[in-house]
Amino acid sequence: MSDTLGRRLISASALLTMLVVLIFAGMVYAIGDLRNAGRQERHSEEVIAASSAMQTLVLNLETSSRGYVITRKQPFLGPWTRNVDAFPGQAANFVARLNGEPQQQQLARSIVAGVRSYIDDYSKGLVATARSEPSAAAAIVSAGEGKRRVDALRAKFGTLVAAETDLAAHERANAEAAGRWATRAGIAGIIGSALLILVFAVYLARAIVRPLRRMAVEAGTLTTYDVSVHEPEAGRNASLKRQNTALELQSDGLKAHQVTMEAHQVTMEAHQVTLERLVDINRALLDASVDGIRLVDLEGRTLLANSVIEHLTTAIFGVPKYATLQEGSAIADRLTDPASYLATMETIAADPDCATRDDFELADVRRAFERHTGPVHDSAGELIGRIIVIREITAERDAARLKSELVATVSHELRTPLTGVLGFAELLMHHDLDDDTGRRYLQTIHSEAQRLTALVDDFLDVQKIEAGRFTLALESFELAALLEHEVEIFAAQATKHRLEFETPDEPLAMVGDRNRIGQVIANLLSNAIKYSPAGGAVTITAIPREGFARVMVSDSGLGIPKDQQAQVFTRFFRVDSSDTREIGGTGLGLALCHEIVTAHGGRIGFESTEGVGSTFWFELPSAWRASAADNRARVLVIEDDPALATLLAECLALDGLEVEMAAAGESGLERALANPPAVVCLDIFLPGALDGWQVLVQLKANPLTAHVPVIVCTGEKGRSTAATLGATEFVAKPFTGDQLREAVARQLSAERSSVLVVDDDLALRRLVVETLARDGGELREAADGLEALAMIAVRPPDVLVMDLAMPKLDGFAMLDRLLERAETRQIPVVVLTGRDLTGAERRLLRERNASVLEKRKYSGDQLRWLVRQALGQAAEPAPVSTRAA
Amino acid sequence: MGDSPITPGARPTVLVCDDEPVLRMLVRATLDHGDYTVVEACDGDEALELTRAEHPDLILLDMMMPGRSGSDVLRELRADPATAETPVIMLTARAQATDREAMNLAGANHYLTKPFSPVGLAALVEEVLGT
Repeated sequence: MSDTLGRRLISASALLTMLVVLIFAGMVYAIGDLRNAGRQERHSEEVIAASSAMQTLVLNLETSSRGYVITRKQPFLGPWTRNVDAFPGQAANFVARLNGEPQQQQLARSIVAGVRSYIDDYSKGLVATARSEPSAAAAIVSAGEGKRRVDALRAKFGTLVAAETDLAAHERANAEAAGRWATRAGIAGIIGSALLILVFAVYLARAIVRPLRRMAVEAGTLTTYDVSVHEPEAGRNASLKRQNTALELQSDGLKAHQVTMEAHQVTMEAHQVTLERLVDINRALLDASVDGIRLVDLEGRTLLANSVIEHLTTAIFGVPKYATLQEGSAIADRLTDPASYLATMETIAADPDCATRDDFELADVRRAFERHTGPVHDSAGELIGRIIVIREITAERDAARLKSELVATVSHELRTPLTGVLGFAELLMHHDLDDDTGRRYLQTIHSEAQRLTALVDDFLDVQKIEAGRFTLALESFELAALLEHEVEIFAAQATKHRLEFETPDEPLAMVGDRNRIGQVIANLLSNAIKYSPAGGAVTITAIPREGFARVMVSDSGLGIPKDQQAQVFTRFFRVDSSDTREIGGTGLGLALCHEIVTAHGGRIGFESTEGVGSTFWFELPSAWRASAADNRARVLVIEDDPALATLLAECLALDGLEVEMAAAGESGLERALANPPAVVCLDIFLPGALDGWQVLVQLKANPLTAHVPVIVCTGEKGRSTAATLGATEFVAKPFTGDQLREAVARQLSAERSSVLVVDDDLALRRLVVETLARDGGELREAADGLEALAMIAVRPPDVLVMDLAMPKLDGFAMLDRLLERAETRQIPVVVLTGRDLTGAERRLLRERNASVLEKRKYSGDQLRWLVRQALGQAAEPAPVSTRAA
Repeated sequence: MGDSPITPGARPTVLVCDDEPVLRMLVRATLDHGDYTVVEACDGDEALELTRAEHPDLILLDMMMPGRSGSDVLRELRADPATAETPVIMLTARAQATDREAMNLAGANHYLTKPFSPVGLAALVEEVLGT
């Protein structure tokens, strides 16, 4: 019996050992596979990096040679020479990297040959030609051979990288499969071994220990009874079978348990997904807040912080991101009132359950913040920490400051003419004066009273604009005549200044509110005279430009300090230093001018040098040599790297965009303000005093550019900062030209719709087109009903803006014709009319669902709103006084 | 102030400094009837220049002016021994406490709030100069 048992034991142990060895061998093999795949992947990465370096070299060569040819500037030659010198080394490295796949190796060799041919056969020749014969070189560049070669090389790079990526992906997939297999085999092996060991142990117990115990018992019995001993073999076999069954049952139980466990795990994973989603939503919610939010524990350590507060603490307060509350107090040194800030901190330290509210201002950057803090309790009511909410209130504080300064100014402005009126009236009452003196006093009283009236009018106009009730009475007039009229009035008053007036010979026909335009001219003239020293010259020039009339008023006065230029058109702004009052004015004139000019679809701006003088100008849509609307959208690229800027410009020009460049923050801001573009692409690291963030803030703060979408292009991690400061898009460097083109296209197409403007008056069409151009979109023009119908037949517009009284085919007849065809019946119509409508006509227009804007109560904002509404884009409420027919 | 060194028989000189021409006209119309010689300055620099040249017996000084403000001018006048004692009447369009305090600190003798009465101005000048 013991012999058989021994053999069984030995063979079972051997089996077990073999099994375990097999399992481990499998695992080791799989791990080896995994490492191998990792090596292959690293190799692929190296190949891709080498390929990308090679590609950069080619692009650098093309950009710098092209830059040299176009600009003829030596600095472009430096990178070119460097890259030509670097080529052999890089090429060797590149080919060496590709020592695996024969196909890839062949492709690499063909790329190297291609680059060599590009350098030797094209680029070197081009640069040599550019040195001797620049124009011939320019011709070569524009012929596009270099671009073709580079494009062909790019395609090859693309194939190489794609193949390498596929290779790497394949290896990765293999490795992952091996890894999975190893894990499964490992787990299965360990469970199997455990079970086998268990079975072996039970078997040992049954086969050795129990029989021994029974033998002992039986030996004891033997001494008592002399009974023949049963052969135990059969009984033992039966009991083993029983135990086997029990073991199998147990194993079934284990399996069932495992299934339950797996079900639990699935539920857990589902819970985790929900939880992660919740965390995501909370995070997004926190980050969407304009306020900085931070949760700290009882020791002042940060538990939670949104991106706004992270930006505030690191970029503005200059303390570490996760500074404790106490460390954060270090900013007290930079505040205008450190004592009150520290007092709040002490209040919090003394009573952890208190809520506080205070504000503080950074003395160096003049930015103000409001801070709320309060205790946070968990669901059991236990105090767990404190929430801190910080909101920037710089704008509100500045507005409040401006308002209170305005009250002081108004008081002063009203009191000065009042002193004249009351004073001279009193002198008239108390003294016997000769007729001449009396009349002079009365004249003074009269002119001072007029000054008061003008002041009150300014305030009322501002009130109207604020209430949205600012409308224009449109009429056709001649701009040069109006200018002459205003200049005559001023020449009579400004005896100490020379007024020089230049107008073109051609008439400058335009449509607008004559009185309002007169107000703008008067305002600019009176400013120019006020700011010029006695004897100084004020020049008024009117020049026609294509589709526009431009009026310039130049003075030789004080000029406007650079740091205040961005705010010139802001309401209540006045050139100001310490307690010195500016010369006259309410601080409202230029803000009004801006409103009036933009309401006419025009632009206003200025150039000024402190101490030299200023030139204020405005442009109004005019019939002068107007061609059909040039709808080319203009993109302003603010980027200091000349190579990158050139690439961007070429890239955007592909989409038919007009591209304007600026290499620094100041010049970019200046250009954007002078002529607001459709989109701004903004780099963040810029030379000079203004970095990209500051440019963004100023663009968004200025009414001239606040609506212009800004795409921030930077390598810095600034996505949330960009969004917080009002950027519409963020493109992280390094980006491809296509990425940028797509981003720009997205911004341009946001409201890209087609509008057809029909009016026989060219000047009025110009006004409408320039007004609607601010919302982007395609604008077409037709001079009468027939022309409009022809254009609609070619392609129906999304909205029709039309006059009613027109030659050939009038508005009503045209609407009838549109009703005849199904595809033109639904075109929304905005009617712009100068005549009073009869009840029947109104009914007709109402049935046609047309909205009506009267020319004598015209408002650009209202027109834009009506068009947006017709396009189904108007989300905001109508400006006051909008009336549908 | 009553003991200002005015030569009997000579007409006292009053300097008026205001950037608003209408204000200067009003002061001239009020005082220039044979009793006073009125000298006009349209900003702070001109006022200081004329003070040194004309040695006025009284200065009427506007508070808010472009360039050098009224309080700046007053401070300079008081710092110069030659004009430290010259009576100064401030003309102000703001009559808030802070302005008055600033005026006292800088050493003005009186102030008038715009709009002011010409008759009242004549009386105040008479009182200050003891004429």
